[in-house]
Amino acid sequence: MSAVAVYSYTQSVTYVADNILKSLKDIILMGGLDPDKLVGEWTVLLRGISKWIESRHLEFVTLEIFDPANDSLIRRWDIAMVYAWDMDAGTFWTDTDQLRFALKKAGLSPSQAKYRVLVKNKDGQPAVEGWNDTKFRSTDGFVKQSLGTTIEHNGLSATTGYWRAT
Amino acid sequence: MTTVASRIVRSSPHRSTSATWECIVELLTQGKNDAARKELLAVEGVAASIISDKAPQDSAIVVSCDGPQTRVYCLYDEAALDESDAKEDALGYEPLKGNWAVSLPCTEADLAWVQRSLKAKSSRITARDMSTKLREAEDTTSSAKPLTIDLKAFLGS
Repeated sequence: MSAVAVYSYTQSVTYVADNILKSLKDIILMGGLDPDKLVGEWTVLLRGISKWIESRHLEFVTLEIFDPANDSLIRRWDIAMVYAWDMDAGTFWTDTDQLRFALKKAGLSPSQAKYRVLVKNKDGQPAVEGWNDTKFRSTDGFVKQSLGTTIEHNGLSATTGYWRAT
Repeated sequence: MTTVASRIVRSSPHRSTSATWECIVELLTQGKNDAARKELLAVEGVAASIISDKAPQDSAIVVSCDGPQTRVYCLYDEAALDESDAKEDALGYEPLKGNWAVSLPCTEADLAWVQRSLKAKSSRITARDMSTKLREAEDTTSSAKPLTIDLKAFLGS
């Protein structure tokens, strides 16, 4: 007799949302910054990201690394959602090696750099406590590098890319 | 001599990393001890981050107090779906009785920032390298046995 685990959509959402935050923590830490600010916001971030993946409004989560002296972008990471959930897919994984390799290539952030996490949702998103409207910093003069899929759970997946100055 | 009890909590994807820590806090505070609950919830983000790294899968969250020691492990992925592998029932003693402390397991790469972050929020909650081996648990039945002098052996020696 053999058995296979059957995951619900909500369980896939939990897996992907948790691993988006873990990936952000790894990016911040491996980029030479302190994850303390991220973990201070962990509960609110997880609440919003989970809710908007569940409702399929979340397009991507962004980590902006910026220079507080002139408020300009230093580097930006995007983790974009792909909604192809299939109960029968039966696969899940998180590729931290790919992130590690990209971070090595991207190099450390300057020690004075600050960061913030923001999201881009489709119109009609349900409201989540602790989130406000904001604007992205300009990516003029930046080019995007794609790493492909880094998180997947039963077809619900996230692709990662980063913007670097040209 | 330390008496040890273990609990195994279902984590992601059954519960989110934050919900896993909140479940552990409930287990430890037993619906009371407001001060301890507040202190434990103040480090929720750090604890959730450690849980997302799967550190408590094989290395326990160790809770020490004036009573028995509690070791909490987490289940992940397929194992987290199976209720029969978990052990989340209430503890039969106060796990935060008296002078309590919590030691969180942590990856070597994260240890420095986690220790720094915890230190700013709590003097009772600390982190250790997850590869640090814990002392063997004492057998609760043998530790409960009363001891007496073997007079015959003593006089014959």
